[in-house]
Amino acid sequence: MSEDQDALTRYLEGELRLVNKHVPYKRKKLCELLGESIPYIVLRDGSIHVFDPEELKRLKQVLGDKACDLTLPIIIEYVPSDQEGFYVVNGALEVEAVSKVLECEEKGGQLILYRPQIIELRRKLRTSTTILIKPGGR
Amino acid sequence: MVALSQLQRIRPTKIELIRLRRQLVLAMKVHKVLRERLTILVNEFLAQLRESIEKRRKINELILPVYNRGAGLLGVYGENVYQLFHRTTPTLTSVLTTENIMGVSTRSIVLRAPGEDKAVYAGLKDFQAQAYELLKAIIELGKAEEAVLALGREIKSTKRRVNALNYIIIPRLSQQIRMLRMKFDEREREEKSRLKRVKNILEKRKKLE
Repeated sequence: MSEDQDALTRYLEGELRLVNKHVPYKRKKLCELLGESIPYIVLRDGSIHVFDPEELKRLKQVLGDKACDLTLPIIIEYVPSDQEGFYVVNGALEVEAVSKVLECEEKGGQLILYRPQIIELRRKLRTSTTILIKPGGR
Repeated sequence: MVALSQLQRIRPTKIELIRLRRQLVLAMKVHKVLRERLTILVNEFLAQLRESIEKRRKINELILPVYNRGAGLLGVYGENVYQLFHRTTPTLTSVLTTENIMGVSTRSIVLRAPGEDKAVYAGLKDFQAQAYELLKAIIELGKAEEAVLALGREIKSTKRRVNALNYIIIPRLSQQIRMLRMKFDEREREEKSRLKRVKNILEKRKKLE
């Protein structure tokens, strides 16, 4: 029985590991991406994720002079131990970009988003945002 | 429901109970994470579906003017018009890539806009612009439909995992924990009654002495 139990534990831990396989291995700056003919990043599972050039141009337009310092993709964190459907965006530039795209108010270096806002954000910035699930908590 | 044989196979020890409790906590956490992932995937699926419907509508609107203009150009320049345009106009290139939506890899195409065309043919510029718009819409539709299919497959497998956790793994672990607790309680009661019995016997012996 203990072998079955260990297999179950291994499976459950594996699920938690695989849930974030779409997170980038290394993020890139917006200007660097705009300079590339095909803007892409490599993800943790080794696959390639290509950005939509239209979205990059939109972000550049939204942020103006500060745009070059923005690292993409913008990571939206979800912590299961928190409230359900409750997401957080960290980082001053990321928060500014998201709040301007969604036309919502920002408070300091953190932006709290709820599910309808996430749907809206993903509709507008599908390739330049990614959702990170943090099973370990904050 | 859990089969009795499965329950009987567990060793009734405190270590086993601790391990089961840990597994239950982990299973609940995984369930929560997967359920949220499923919600996100369903939202993405619906967004892609909405986009594909929108693109299909756009294609239906664009296709007739392009066809009419093409037919008009054919009438003006003759049968070899397309070969002529092909030689004189800059080529439109596309690169096949991949896009990742919440761990679901879908195929995507990056379309590179053609450079400025120097040749002047009456009616060609508009035709080119319209044809480019149409091609762009067709590619967008392809991307959206590919994403819909890939997301659908992922939703199906995630749903199975969520249901397995919800209806099989978590109830089984809970029942195993309950079973172990009952066994420990029973042991405690047995121990208590045994002690009482021993105490009574000892008291009786004392009285007899």
